[in-house]
Amino acid sequence: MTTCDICKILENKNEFKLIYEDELCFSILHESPAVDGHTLVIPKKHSPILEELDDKSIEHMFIIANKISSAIFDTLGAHGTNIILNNGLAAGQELPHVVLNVLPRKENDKLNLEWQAKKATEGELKTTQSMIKSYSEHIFSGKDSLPEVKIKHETINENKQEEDYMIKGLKRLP
Amino acid sequence: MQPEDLQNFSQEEIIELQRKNCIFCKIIHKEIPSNEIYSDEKVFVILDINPANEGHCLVMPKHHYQILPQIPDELIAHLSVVAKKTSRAVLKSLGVKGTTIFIANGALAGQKAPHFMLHVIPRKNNDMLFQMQKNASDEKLLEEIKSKLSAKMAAMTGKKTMIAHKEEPKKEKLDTKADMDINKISELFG
Repeated sequence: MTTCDICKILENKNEFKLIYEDELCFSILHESPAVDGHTLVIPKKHSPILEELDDKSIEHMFIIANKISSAIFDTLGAHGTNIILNNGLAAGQELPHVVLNVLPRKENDKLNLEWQAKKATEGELKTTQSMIKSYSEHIFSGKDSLPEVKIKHETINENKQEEDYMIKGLKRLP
Repeated sequence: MQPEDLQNFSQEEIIELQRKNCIFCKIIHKEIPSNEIYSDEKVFVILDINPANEGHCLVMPKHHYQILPQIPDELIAHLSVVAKKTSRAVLKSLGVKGTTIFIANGALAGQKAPHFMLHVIPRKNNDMLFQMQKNASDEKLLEEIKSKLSAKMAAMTGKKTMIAHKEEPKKEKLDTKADMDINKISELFG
C-alpha cells in the first residue's frame, strides 16, 4: 500500500479523468482546475522532487506534456498553453510526487501567471552567474545525474541536507 | 521595407524574417552579450536580465523555434534534462528551497519573445508567483474535455488502450512532425 496520494491516483486511475497512459507516465484532468482543461502529466515512478527523478522519466514527461499541449490547442480552442512544474514546498508543490501542469490559455481567463520583472545590475548578474556556474559545471559534466557529481566533500554533505530538507518538507504534507 | 511588403511574404518567409530579427538568436550567436550558464551543440542557458527572482535562468534551443509543438521530441527530451540540471544547480548554489519550471506557448500564455524557452525560476517562500486557483468544475464539463483530449492523444500517439507494453519508449512511434501548421503559430503572436 502506498501512502502517496498521487501513487494512489494511479492505483485507482479509473475513478479519475484519465487522458493518457503509457509505461512511464499517465495524464489526468485536474478535478479542481485553475482553468477548464487543466491537465496533469505524472511520472509513474514515485519521486518527491525533480532532482531525484531519472532522466528518462523526465524526458518522457515533457514529450507527453507537449502532445497534451498540442491536443489542447487542437480540441479546446486554446490560444496558448502554459506548462508548469512546481518543484519544492517554496514553489507551492502540494504533494510529494513530481507533477507537470498543462494549462489551456484563453483571453480573459482570469489566470495570472505573469511576474514582476526585477531589474538586475550587470554586477549582480555576474555574481549570480559565478555562483551558479560553480555548481553547474560539475552537474553538467557529470555522466549521469545525481550521485556522480564530483564536488568538494563538505559541499556534498551540505547539498545532501538541502535535498533531504526538500524531501522531508514534502513528506510532512498530509 | 514597408508594412504592405509583408503581405507578399509567405508564412515561411515571415518566420525567416523573425528568425533574423530574433534577439535570442543573436544572443546564441554571441552577437549580443549574455550571462551564459551552459551551452552545448543544441541548447543554450543564460540568466534572465529581468528576473522574476535572483537566478532566473532561460533554457533555449539554439535553433529558432517559436513554441514547443514545433520542436522534435529528441530536442524536447534534451531540453528537459538540461532544465532539471539547471534547477539542481540553482537549488545548490543559491540556497533556495524550490524552483518552478515554466513554459509559455503563445503571447496569451505570457510568452514575451518568439523564441521558445523554458524558464527555471528559483522560488522563495511567499514570493506569490504562479498562483493557480482551485476552481470547482462540473462532472459533465470534465467528462466532455476528457473525451476530446483522450481521443486526440490516442490519435496522436497510436495508444488507445491502457495496457502496458514492453516497447522502449524511445523506439515508440510518437508523432514527431510538428503538430501545428505555421499559420496557426503566427496567429499565436498576433
